[in-house]
Amino acid sequence: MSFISQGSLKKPFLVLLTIGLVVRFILMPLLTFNADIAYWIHAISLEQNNLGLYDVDGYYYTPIWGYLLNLSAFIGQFIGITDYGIIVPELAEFVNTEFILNEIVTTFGFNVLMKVALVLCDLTVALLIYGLVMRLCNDEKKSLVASALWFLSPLVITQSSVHAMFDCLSAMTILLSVIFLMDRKYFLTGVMFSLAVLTKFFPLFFFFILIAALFKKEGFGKEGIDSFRNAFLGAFLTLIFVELPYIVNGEFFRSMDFLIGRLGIDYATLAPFSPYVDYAFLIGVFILVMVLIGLMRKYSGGLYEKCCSMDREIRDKKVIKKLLKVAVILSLMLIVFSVFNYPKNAIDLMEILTFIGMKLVSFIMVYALLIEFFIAYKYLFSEDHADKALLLNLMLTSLVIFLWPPSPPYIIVSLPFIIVYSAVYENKLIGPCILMMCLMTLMDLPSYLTSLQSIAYYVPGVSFDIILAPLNFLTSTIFGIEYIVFVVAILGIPAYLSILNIIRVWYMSTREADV
Amino acid sequence: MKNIPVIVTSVFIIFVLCGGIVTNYYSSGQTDVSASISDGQLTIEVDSNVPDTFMYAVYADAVARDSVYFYYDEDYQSFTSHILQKSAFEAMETTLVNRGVNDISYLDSDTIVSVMDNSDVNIVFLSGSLPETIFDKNSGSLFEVWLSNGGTVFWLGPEIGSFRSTQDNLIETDVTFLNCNYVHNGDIEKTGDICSEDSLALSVFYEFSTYGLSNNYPGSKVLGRLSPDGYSSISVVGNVLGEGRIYVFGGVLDYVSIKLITSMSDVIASGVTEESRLIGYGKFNKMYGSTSIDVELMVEEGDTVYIMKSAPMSSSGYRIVL
Repeated sequence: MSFISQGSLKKPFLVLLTIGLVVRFILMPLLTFNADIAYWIHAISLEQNNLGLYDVDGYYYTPIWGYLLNLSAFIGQFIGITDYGIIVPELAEFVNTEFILNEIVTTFGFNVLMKVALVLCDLTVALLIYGLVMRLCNDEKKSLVASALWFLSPLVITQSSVHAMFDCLSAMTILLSVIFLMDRKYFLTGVMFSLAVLTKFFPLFFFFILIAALFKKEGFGKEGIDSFRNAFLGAFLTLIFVELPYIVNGEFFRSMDFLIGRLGIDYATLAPFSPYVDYAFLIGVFILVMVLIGLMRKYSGGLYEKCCSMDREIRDKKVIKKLLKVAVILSLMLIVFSVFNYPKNAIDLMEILTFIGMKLVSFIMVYALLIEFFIAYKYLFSEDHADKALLLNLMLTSLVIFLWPPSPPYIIVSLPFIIVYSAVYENKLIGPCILMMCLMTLMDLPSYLTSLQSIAYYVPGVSFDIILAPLNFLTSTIFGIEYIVFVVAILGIPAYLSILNIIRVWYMSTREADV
Repeated sequence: MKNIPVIVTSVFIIFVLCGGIVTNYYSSGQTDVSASISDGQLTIEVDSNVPDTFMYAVYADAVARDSVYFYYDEDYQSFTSHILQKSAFEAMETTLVNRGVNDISYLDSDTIVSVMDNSDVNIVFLSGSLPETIFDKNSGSLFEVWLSNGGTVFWLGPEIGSFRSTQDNLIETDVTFLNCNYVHNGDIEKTGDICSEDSLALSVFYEFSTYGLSNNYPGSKVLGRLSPDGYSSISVVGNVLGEGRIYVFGGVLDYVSIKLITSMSDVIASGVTEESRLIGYGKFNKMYGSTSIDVELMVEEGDTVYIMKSAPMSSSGYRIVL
């Protein structure tokens, strides 16, 4: 079924795209947050120094963004963008403060170079959202609203065109994964899911709902099992393809540090056993899943029938009971992990608070995963096969990821599903969605204060004091804690509550509908 | 355009594939760099196929440094992790070759003894300790004699001499080769906030100054960044025990960063010493083909131009004596 032929790209849509692109083109060179873009220089330097992405510290994410950074640098070289920036001594004193700043002021050319791929990604997601909404309801007005919510979102614009953060890549690939699932192209579903997780790990939380949706469409018979096998092969082969250089070098777990680090696993403890532990892990996963598929062929149909025949309330209680047991076991494991990993030399209040905060986030992430499982379970066993049910559960899944307070870029991966569901099925959510995007954008206010750095340094007549004055204030301390911490907390609390507010508004409207 | 998702998927995968190939195999080809004096001023010529950005630092009284030894021995105890040392050395082998230091050899606790009669060598220590084969309880050990005769050490770790390693033990000593009044005592992790002129010239990013030298250390030169209380992330001090020279890199090797590797490599390759005088530094861009630039600096024969490719973090270096 042709995706684009279901809707026509009429004039208002083109106007929307034009406005969004013009805003981005203006912002891209001029405004850039200081911190992350300088880390992209470190990552590019690894390759320029003939070192791999993970030979030494300098790049902390999985390889996809690293590949795109180096490809951007490669293209940049051929168009003459080779000067990435300069060390500005006045910034050096802020490097190891809570502000997480960098001493490099980047050039206008480099600012643009790092954001082109992200802007293309924003554009692609806008097109995908337009097409998806047309497919769901064949309403051009709703399609336009949905695309506008994404493409003109201050949060989306800021993250790609000012922050140079690549969460839109994750959003694009997980959205593609869902679209392929709806098209019943399961191998590509797996490919895109793998790419999404290998970009940023948050799409991992969609695992259960995607599996549930697959089996709901295909059943637990031969078609369903074969579809699951194809999805797994797509995901696994993509993982191997993307990670091949690092698997060969025994750096597979190192490349996964952004993910496994949050589980409390230090890749350095596995390093002495690499690459054998890498091979063993991958082969083990493959064999395990193949065995699982074999067992599913034999037992899953009967098990599913048995579950379906059970009284719904009894089944729900059994599932909840099991999930609570798992929650208790995982909580105990996390507590033990935390006790062993407590930084014994920590004397700084901020270090202690940071450690406790990170462990709390780990707890919430574990519980979020269990809630995601329950959402997927309820969807699998519901009678509703309509697209609305799938989109609703995708939206809820994307919101539950962030039961812990996220940084502004992280919520990007959830936006397409919130937007699509709001625009198509529940317009009452549009307002809370816009409010959330605005408050999350505002949360980055301290970083905006430094975003004029390139202008301040490279434009004659502009004083660098416009950067230094707010920096000095924000990094000065009260009770030993920098003001930036208080500012982020004050801005972060309403931003976080606005995410929960979306769930609240959905729940209230569901209650009203029931009444 | 039939199906956007499939098109997007294909394009994205091709880009990831291209990006991966470029990352692992691309080389921008040969770059020829030369420098000369013209009417007392410096001229730099670069010949390469592609555009690039270059930084340069001009010094009087720098030294030639074409070879270096790495001390590494898994069978001897050390203050820092062997895994990290190995990782750092493997990375530095690559980055030093990129900067014209092609002769790199490893020494263990036994083979290091054989170079102790040659004071014209440079040895990098990341272990934070000296092996007992060259450093024993008595004064006048092999290492001390070698250093007094003019040996050069690049040191990262607790104050040099404060730990001696055996195969079984790491022993704290009361020996110091440096004036401990000017060495950071390592109580609190210190980072350098203030960029020295040489750190800007050599594009030094390394900022940790725990165990670093004070900028007031007599006869020393600050090459890195200074903490607010005046301890440097990279210093060089000469006339140690006689004619020895020690480059002190602050911090301990608890992780290996691109900042440390490039900074250390540029300091080694540039040949800067405590006696070197920075004449000037800067940056220029070149497009396709050859480029010749005239730098408004008064230079003399014997001055050293150290040219680094890429900015702000160097990717290779060229050391030219005028």
